[in-house]
Amino acid sequence: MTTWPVRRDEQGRESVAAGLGERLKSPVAPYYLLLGATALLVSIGLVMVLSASSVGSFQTSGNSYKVFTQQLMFAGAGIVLGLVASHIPVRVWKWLAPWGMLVAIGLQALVFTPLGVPFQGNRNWIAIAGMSLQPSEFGKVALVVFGAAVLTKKRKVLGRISHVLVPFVIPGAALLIGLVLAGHDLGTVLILVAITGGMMFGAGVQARYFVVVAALAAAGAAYMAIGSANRMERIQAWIGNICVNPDVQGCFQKVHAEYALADGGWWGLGLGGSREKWGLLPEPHNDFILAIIGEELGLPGTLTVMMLFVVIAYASYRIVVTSKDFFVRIAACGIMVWLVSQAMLNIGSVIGMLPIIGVPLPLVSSGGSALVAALLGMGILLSLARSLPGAKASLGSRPSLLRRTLAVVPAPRLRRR
Amino acid sequence: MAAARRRGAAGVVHPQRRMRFMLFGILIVFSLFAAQLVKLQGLDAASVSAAAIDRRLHEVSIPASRGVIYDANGVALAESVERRNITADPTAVITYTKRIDGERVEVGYEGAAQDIAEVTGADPAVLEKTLRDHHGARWTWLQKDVSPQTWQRVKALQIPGIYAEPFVKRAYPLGASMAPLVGWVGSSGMAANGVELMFEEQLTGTPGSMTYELGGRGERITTGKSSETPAVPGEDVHLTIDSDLQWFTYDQVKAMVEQSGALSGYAVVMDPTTGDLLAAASYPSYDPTDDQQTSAALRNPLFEDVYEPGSTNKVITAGAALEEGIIDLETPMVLPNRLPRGGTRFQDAHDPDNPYATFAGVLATSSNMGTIMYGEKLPDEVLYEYMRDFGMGREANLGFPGQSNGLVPPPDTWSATSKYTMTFGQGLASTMLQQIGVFQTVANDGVYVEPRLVKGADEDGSFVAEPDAKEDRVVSAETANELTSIMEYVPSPEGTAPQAAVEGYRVAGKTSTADRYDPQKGRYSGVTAGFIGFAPADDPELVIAVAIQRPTRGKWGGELAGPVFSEVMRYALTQRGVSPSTSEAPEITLHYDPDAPAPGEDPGVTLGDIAIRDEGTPQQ
Repeated sequence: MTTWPVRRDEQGRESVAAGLGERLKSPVAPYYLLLGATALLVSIGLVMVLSASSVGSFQTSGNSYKVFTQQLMFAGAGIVLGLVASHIPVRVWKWLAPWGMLVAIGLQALVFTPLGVPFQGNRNWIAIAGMSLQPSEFGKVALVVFGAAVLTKKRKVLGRISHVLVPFVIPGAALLIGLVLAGHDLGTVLILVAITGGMMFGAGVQARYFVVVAALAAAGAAYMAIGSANRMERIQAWIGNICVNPDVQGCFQKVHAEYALADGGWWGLGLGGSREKWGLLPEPHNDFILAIIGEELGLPGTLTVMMLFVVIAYASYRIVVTSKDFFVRIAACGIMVWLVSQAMLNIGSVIGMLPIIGVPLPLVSSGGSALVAALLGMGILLSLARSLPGAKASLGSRPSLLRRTLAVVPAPRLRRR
Repeated sequence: MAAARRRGAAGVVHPQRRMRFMLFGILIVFSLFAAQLVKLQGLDAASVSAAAIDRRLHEVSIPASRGVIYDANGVALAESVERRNITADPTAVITYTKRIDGERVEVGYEGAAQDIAEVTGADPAVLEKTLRDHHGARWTWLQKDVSPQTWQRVKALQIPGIYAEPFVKRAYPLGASMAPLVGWVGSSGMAANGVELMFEEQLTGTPGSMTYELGGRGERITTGKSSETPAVPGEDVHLTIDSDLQWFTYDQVKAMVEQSGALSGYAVVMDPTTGDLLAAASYPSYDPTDDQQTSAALRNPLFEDVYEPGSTNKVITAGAALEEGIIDLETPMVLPNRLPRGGTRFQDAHDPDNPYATFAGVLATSSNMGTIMYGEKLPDEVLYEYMRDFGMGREANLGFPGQSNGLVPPPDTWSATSKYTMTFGQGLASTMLQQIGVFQTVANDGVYVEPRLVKGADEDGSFVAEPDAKEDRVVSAETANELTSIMEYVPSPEGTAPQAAVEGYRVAGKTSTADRYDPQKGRYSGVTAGFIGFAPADDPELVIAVAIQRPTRGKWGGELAGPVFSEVMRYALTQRGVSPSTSEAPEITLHYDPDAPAPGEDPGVTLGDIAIRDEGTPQQ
């Protein structure tokens, strides 16, 4: 089972590429690809959060590890939650879908009660028992599962737009998005809209609706941009070619991110060597962690992070292609759209190809709710991967990790007798 | 699309196709991102990174410590010391709580003021008032200028909101006695007058600089680039001054200025063989510990004041006449009561008791008439050259700030009376340093040595001595000895300055009581009472000059400057271990019998016959 599958060509030589292709066709490939990508992203994230936050943490609290230990705690909780989620059968997810959506909308509504905590002009946090929580992050999970369940139910009538919209978009997604929008969290709204649209697109809804909506959205965005000085400024900073130095209005973060990436250069300054994390680049461990990764680990660091998101996208694609279950397909599509679109918005902001929107890099950036929710999402994706035909059998036939590990330990003598 | 519609619901595309489409889109977007990253991190990185480093780099100047000014024995006269200003944040001080008898009591401003005052010795009421006046403010001075040790003890009190800022202060341990000579450096770090200004360049050193990358909160990025050019500390300067002698001299001058109600007074002690200035004291002085000084107070009159040398110049005239062979010690002269020259009738302060005086007698009793009568025999140019050679009107090349050159008008500008007045020291101006040069020359067997204030400097940690002063023979040793023998009469009990005598030592000197030109009034007003002399007369070790400007009680050089000279000379001789004189002063003949036969002449010719007498203005 653990031997490398090798296909021999006519000369009898081994072809590694061919072997890799064979291996990717295995029904368990998506499962392991997802598991590996998640583990790597979370590991890189933890190391880089420690590096990027250490200076700021020390300056504000006297403890370099303050942000890191919190992040480590949340990572632990998220990994447990994700492992549990990965073992929950698909039918349970289907059953949980409406309840999850109700809970998500309820939690999001709590933001506007006295439990809500305003932060940086946004109102998207609630504080319960001394812990602060960003319900919109869990709203993303709920929206994916809810959407997949509803669209599966409506599978036969997806040709009619009214069935597509009700009840997935109206009232479900609209209510959640409306609440988040009321809290002024534009970044999360964009992700939720992307998830909604992406799932409908993945479900096969006719392209013309997307063209119409995209045209309307573009017109609306243009109208809103022209009507707001702040938004025009951001757009100017993005494509106006005005950011010659950080002192130009609206360019501070963008230019410092460029500085960080340029400082890193091809091969990086080395782990821990970032200069811009010294109070220069805002949010170095959060929205702009990719800039610090680039500064410390160079181009290999940034490209690896992007590659891992491509791996997640590919694995999700494999789930959609392999699965026979419509729910599994749409849910995998939804989670992929969520994580990949969020990664795109984040990376695009950091490298100056998009205006700065303010979303964290999934699985990597610091932030407890986001990390736990993303790990939960990955757990669901793993659970979907496990449901693929043949996967269960393959995974089930393997001895447990514990037994395999212990197998290398010499057996006690007692047994030989 | 047609292929996708093969299954189930109408108008719906298979998720597999849609997913392939999305994956394709994702790959395109990430490829664009990767290209942008290669541009940012690879192709454009060098110039952007240079701009980034340029913005983070900060240069900080490292101040160079100012050199120390030492006296001849290594006593610090000026040094830079670290001090602290105590500052306070009253909003924090008011929360000061103390444990009194096991109970925590908030003692606030009052308690803080009392505790701090106990350590620093300040008035607690003043401290408390300062705090109360700044109630609500976040910052105020509390007490300025305390030592780092005191600050450590204040800090140990752990009163909230009490801070200190360091600064470097120039300390002058010997205070006012040295102030006008050493000069002054205020809080600005700029030297004002004195040796401080004279050696500004050597003392200052070269500030270094430190370059490092700075983070957003002003902290240094430890992993960033940094470079440091260390500061080069200033060189130490060693003066020829003996601080003990300086202090004693200052004290004596001060006492005499106060006693005589004079405007000012100053005294110089010099080693005649090297030209080294051992003391250069002037009064009034100023307190160098004050934060601010006026430019008038900072002025050093000893180097800057010029005044008519008066009788001092007679030594030059006499030296020239002896050297040129015009006269000898016993040349008989007949002193008239009035001497008409250049349209003026000159006269002495009082008519001579005995008109039959020898040359020695003329100089010893400081007769203006006699001096004119032999001095006029010197050609103008010769007299002028001797004055220059003895140091009058010589260029002030000591380098002391504000040092004056004096003024000796050259012969072609002389008026009808100039030559006559110059022979006895009027019509020219000089500094005390130039006047002491005349006596130094006589004391040093006729060799003039330029005055020296600096022994050397510490350059790069090793002592580099100043070159020896320039020497110039002015008169022969014989002439010098003859002048000395005459001047020994001055401090004798019969002379004009018996107060200048020093018990046990032979002293030679000359009083001078010159009319003082008052630049403010634009006319002569008051006098300059001076005495310059040296001892021991047989082997001179020290020359001392004393001048008291515009005394209001007393007038004569002998009575005002004489006692100061005597005290300082006595102190300096004993301090330097000079053994008392064993020989007696030589007898000199001051008067003669006009009817006595003249030696070396025909019989019947008397001294009166050959004596120099007024025969009208000589024709040249």
